Amino acid sequence: MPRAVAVRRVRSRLTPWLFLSPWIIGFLAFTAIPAVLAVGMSFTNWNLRFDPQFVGLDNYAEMLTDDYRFWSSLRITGIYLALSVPIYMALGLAAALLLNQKVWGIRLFRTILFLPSVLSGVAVAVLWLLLLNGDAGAVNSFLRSLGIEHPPQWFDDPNWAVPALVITGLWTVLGNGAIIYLAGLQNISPTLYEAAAIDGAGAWTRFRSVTIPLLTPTLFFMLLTTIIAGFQVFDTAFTIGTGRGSGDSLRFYLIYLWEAAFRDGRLGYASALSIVLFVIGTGLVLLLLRTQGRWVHYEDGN
Amino acid sequence: MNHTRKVALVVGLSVGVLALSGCSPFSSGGSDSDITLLTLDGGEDNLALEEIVDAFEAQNDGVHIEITYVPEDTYPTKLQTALLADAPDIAAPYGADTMLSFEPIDDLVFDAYDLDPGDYNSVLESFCGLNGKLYCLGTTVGNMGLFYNKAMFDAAGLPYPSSSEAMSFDDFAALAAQLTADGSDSDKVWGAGADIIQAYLNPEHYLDETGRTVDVLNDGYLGTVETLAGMVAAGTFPSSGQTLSVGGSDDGLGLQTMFLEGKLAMFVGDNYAVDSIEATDIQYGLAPVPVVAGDDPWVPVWTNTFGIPLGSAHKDVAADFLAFMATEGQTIQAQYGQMPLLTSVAETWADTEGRQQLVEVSKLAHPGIFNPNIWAWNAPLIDAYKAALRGEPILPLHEDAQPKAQQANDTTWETFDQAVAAAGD
Repeated sequence: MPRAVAVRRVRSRLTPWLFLSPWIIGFLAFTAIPAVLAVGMSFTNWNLRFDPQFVGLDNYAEMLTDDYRFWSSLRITGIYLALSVPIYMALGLAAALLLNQKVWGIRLFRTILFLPSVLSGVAVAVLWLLLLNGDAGAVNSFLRSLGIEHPPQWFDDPNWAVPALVITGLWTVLGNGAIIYLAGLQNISPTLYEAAAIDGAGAWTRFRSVTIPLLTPTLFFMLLTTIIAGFQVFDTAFTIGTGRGSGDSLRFYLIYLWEAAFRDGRLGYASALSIVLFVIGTGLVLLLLRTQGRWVHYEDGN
Repeated sequence: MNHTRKVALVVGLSVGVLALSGCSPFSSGGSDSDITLLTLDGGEDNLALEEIVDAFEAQNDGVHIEITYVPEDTYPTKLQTALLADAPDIAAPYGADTMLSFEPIDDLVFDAYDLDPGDYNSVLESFCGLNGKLYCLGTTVGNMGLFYNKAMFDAAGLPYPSSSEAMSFDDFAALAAQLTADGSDSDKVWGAGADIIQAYLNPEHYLDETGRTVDVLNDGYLGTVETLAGMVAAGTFPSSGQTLSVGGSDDGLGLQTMFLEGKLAMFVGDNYAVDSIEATDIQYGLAPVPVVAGDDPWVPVWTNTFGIPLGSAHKDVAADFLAFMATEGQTIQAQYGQMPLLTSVAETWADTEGRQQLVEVSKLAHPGIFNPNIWAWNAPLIDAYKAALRGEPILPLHEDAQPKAQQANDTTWETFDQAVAAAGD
């Protein structure tokens, strides 16, 4: 083979890698290598002031048997997921159905609904802290006007703190979700609705037999991303529920992980916490992926 | 790629790598007189530090101090990595365990510059002392106190609280009842308010003398919570929600706002309130915080901290700066509102009756039970306290909270003990 041809061939093989290299380097440096190191660190006792000491499974054992904050943060995150995922999905879909109507000014309504999504999570948290004030917040004033004498104390009551955070998130999540559902709704061919109508299907039947099945890929995507977002709750809970004078009621798993690593300096233990979170999250996602064949309908039949 | 381009690429990458390698703010690449100082971002308090630095530089030709401010939530990590990698010359220790990564300054600063620790507020010992050695010093004294509105006491025909004797919580509750003026939330005056008790109650009521065992199931602690919960129930002490709605936040700052707006006759808060109160027409006084009946006065105090990391490359200049901070720096600090650490300067600083009472109260401070970081483990106690103030049964709340707090306290101590052991190696 002439040398020039060989050089050209090598160059053509290397060129894509060269273009990919910024991402590959970033992925290796900031994701893959730290993730592998975290697995190793999870078997150590290390707080930066001394060399890592190998402790085997001690960190995991402590988590399971001797750390109420692990269980408490896991429970809080679980409650948040159980509440937020169905509520955010259902209301996001409902908002998208409304925004899918062909009425005057609908583009303006879409923009208004999406606006809170671009606000800072911290600013939204502060705003809702005032709205959900147990004594004088607008929400409780409204509830009292409806005759509810003792409305929830929201963030002041550990039993209501997580539902309050779900409400806080609703405002920003709704717009994001609605836009994605809307894209899914607009991908459904109008001919299917026409055919269903000709067959005598009413609005509910068309929604149940046409919209929902054809929207299942979008629903599946939203389910996955809402669950992942639920595991990543940090900024609003951190703003409202941490700092001097705060209790445990909003110590989400990620906040506890952050405290263990960056407040207490227990990097080995925090790594173990991150591995457990990774296992739980991955397990849940894999479970969903395995079930999608039963309820997600792709247009190409796969 | 031709040869020229390859050369340009290699040169470019090399320059990039070299530039990045010099990115550390504490890189020792500067001259011998370039001193690095790492500290928490103190907002307006930074101004005093910057003037102290300017004055020191003016007295020391060729010395330049570069200050790096870091927000408090990321400071512990920043400090730890800085101490390991390329230690600053001067830094703020953060927590008892980090002090062991600093030089003791008893000889390096106090003896070398003929300074007497006894001339400073006792916070120097309680905040910077560990195992009989001093590791840092500061410019200011922060302390908790009971602020009261004299006009409201006069109107109720009540004598002002003493600035040298602490009242009991029962007396506090009785006073609050007499000072409360009923009305709707918008025009009501509450008799008293206070930050969470963990901010001002003597730790001997929830820790044993070693600081390792949590005990809240005792009469002193539970009785205090019961008294305060009773005050909320009686409407003489604002609930968390009322403080948030009237004061804007449900913490000490919210109480301070209520006090400034005439909604609160007295409150337990920190001395940062002095400047704000003195900017109004309110005639105020200051007393020690309430204590469990029979206790001596207990005044929680703190200071900003500056020490010399073990890895400092300019220990002599750093010691010189700390000595300057401990002397002339105190006078500069006095011009910036906060009470200076040096008692003689603090007395000069106290040019109003309120400030004089503040100095008097701060002198009542004394070291108490040592614990590496109370705020790292007391969340269950805070939850229990807040629930009690909402009217939930006090004993079951604390029976549930105590083992949780103990577990978290054990972890705090374990981390501290490991740091001590590592420092000893």
